[in-house]
Amino acid sequence: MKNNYSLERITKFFNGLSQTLTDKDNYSLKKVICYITIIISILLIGIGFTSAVNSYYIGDTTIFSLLLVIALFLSFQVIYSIVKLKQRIKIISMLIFTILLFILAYLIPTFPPFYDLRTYDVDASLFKFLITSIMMIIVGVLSVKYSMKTYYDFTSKSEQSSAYFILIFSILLILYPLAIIVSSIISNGVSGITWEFLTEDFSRHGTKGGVFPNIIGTFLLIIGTAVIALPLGISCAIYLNEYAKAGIITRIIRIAVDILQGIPSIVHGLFGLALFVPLFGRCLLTGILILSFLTLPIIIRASEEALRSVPQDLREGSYALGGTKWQTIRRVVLPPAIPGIITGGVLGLGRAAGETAPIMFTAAFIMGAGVPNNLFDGIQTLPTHLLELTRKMGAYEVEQNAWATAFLLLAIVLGMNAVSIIIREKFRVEF
Amino acid sequence: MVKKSSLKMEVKKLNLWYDKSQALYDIDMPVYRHKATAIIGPSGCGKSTLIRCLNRMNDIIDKCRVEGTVLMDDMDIYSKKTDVVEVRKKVGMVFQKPNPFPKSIYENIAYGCRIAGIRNKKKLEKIVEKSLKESFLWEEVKDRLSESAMGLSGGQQQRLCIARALAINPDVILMDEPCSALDPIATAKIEDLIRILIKDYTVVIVTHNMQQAARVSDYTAYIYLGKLIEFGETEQIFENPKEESTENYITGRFG
Amino acid sequence: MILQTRLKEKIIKSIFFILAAVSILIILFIFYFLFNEAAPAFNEYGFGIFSDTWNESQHIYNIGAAIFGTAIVTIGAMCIAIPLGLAGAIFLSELAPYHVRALLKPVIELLAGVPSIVYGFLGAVLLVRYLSSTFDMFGYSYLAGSLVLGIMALPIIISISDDAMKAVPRSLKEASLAVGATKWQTIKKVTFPTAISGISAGVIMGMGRAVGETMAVSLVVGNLMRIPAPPFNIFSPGATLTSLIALEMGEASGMQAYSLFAAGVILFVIVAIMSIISNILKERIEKKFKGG
Repeated sequence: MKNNYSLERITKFFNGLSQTLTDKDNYSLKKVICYITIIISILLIGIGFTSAVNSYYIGDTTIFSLLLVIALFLSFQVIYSIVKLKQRIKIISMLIFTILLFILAYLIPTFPPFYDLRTYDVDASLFKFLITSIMMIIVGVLSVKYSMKTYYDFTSKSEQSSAYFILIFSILLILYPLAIIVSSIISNGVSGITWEFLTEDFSRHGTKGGVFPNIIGTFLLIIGTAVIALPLGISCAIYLNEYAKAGIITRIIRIAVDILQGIPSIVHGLFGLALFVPLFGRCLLTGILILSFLTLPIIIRASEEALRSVPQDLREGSYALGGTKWQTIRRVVLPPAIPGIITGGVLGLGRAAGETAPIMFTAAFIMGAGVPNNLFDGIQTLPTHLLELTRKMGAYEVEQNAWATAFLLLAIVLGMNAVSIIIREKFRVEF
Repeated sequence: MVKKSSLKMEVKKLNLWYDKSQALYDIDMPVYRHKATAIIGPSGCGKSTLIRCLNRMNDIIDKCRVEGTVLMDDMDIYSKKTDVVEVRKKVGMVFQKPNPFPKSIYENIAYGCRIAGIRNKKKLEKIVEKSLKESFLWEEVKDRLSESAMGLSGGQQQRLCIARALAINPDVILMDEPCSALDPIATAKIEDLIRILIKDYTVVIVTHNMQQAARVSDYTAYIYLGKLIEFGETEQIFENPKEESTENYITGRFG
Repeated sequence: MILQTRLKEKIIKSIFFILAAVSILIILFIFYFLFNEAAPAFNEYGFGIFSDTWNESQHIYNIGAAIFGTAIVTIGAMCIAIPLGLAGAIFLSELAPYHVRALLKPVIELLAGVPSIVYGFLGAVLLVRYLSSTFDMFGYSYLAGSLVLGIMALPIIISISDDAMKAVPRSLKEASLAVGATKWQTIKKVTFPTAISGISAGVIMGMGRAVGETMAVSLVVGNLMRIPAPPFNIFSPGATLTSLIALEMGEASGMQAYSLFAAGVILFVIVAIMSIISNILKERIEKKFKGG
């Protein structure tokens, strides 16, 4: 279905294009020129982007000719607009832009290869390719905007089209780093996942061996946090949503939960360092407690939302039948809310699994802790391992293992998130 | 003159405030046993508020204050000694928008029994069948009791809600505009049902549809701006209203 | 029997209340302990703690440079995340066809779930190298920090703003279209302004994430406790409150440790203020749709 839809879109575009080409009058000449300008502008944006990312300068003549071509087409559009539309005011900016483009086309080859900013006490240089890439992108975007203005004869429709163009451009800009993240982790990380990697401890500063104790440590943290944070959080949500009257105390609790949610993870670590480490030492229990505090507000929020989504009708139906409050909660409110609660729980636990800062000095050791024997033993975890490897990357050959650890950690966390989303969608109760 | 023992419930000097604004003023109204009493009046004048007092559903609303007495079998349901849960087991309610639980048809009806403590499977099955037959839904759903109640049509859902209310064997059944979300055919079915129910139960129904009130009830109360303007036998109210306000409403001059 | 149920109900209610109140206790605990440990530093330096002299050999531990770093890096991150985030939210809620939205929304939620250490790792191994070759610079810098944090704050802003815009009642949009406005005009003049409270709440939450992020920042920002000579030199390495704590926490003791706790307190206060503002904004939304 999805394929058909985009296929339709593309065929429509080309249909429109061929129609304007076969229609023989001035009006469609304008359309053709607009189309061509837009295509070249998009090309320009693409080239600018790739050259920026790959640190490659595409050459003076190419840029010169591209800019010249766009400037020519834009001048046609300016002339058309002046003659046909007589909307002087809006055309002036187009005119200025076109003239600037001509000037730019001539100037680009004369730019120096780089511009040293150190004369301004800034520790960097701007290379020519970066300047030209950014300029190309800006020129491309503006040209598309002006072409659309001409295409739609400066009506509000043109405003809409150019706005849409910018939005789509932004989305692509957002998806680009995402694509990089995913592809680089998969391509670099998969090869590192060997049986040895998964079942042995590491050695030689992490250049050899695997992350077995770290996997165990992370899993123990997840389970421990679930045991403490889930019952606590769900109960809090039940109280807030079902029992509490709108009063000062409820307000304070809600604000407290919000603040708790915003506290940076490192601050949780500091707190644990101050309170729990003197009590229990640097161990699994401390880690579990700290992570529980971290996860609590997430679970409370998600559970509250789930409970809130159960319509009041149902509660009233139960009361009208003579049900008590607890009976109503247990039998009518909770069951449809459970998927939402579980989703929130799994999401929170996924977050806990990936945390480094709160546990790096309070529960986890870089090496030597191995698999813990009881709650008061130290542990090794995947996030702290990744941290250490990243720090060591300059000095030792650990990059391969770092990628593999990142991949593993990401797989676990994203796996949990994906499971939570699936649960939410599959077991959703429609009212 | 009617004998006092035919009174199932009696509202005496009932006043109600939502926070600071008063919604009901000094209501005195009888509810007769095994009869259908309709409450009519323009929108927003207190009909729903009044009927919700009869099973203390207004307790759930924050900042709602009630003064006065509501007697059922000569016991004040608003007294501090009364357990509101027990009241609601004797006075059932059907809401404007059908609100079946997202459970199976069987479980919806068995719900009320379960929370009352009945666990015997055979007993439950009997009660479910009886209630569904009483609300004329049995034939339509007897083969799919384990299917979700959310899959029923609006009219069926409302009859399910009626069956659910009947399952706990109440004395009184309150209905708050039960047909306003239903199509004419479903409405007719429920109206027929009401006439049959009063053989075993007492019914109070809020409706903004005057013809429905005329068709279905024995007694009618006309509420306007939170005050009970007139109460009497339905025939009398509709053919010979004593108050001018009542006559204006009935003849459609306003509301 | 009636009394028994009443008692049972009361007990259950109390249990839930106690468990709920525990969350307040936790906050108070955290607050108390942090302040307790940070007090010596505040006592010693007073307001001077905001100056930028952090000198380990001379045992002077003022955290001004870290505060500066947090500010710069957050501003930079917001410059990236707000425009892109809002554009993404508008696209997702108003423009995207059903299937595209069904695909992208979970993707963005997944993005939000990537652990910060992974961002830090990628930043160190990909971004820093790219920056150092493209700009002929050291690589570890405020710029790198802003870029990484910007990407991390994006999904939050997109997600919350998208929810806010989707919550605008259809009747409002239809009213606008019915007088002949284009879809874009409707978005610009009706949908977006109506959702502005929710969007602001989303932006503030994104900002909160940027301020509070630790691992991602500490691995790319360079950890240099110094305000650069022209302060706008974003290409210079620096430090943020979070990276400072992360770096020094292990071996700090005495006054140095107290200063770190002071940094923690400042973070706590910043975040608390943001929460409160966010709450006020959310209450405004409630009022708008209920009463006025």
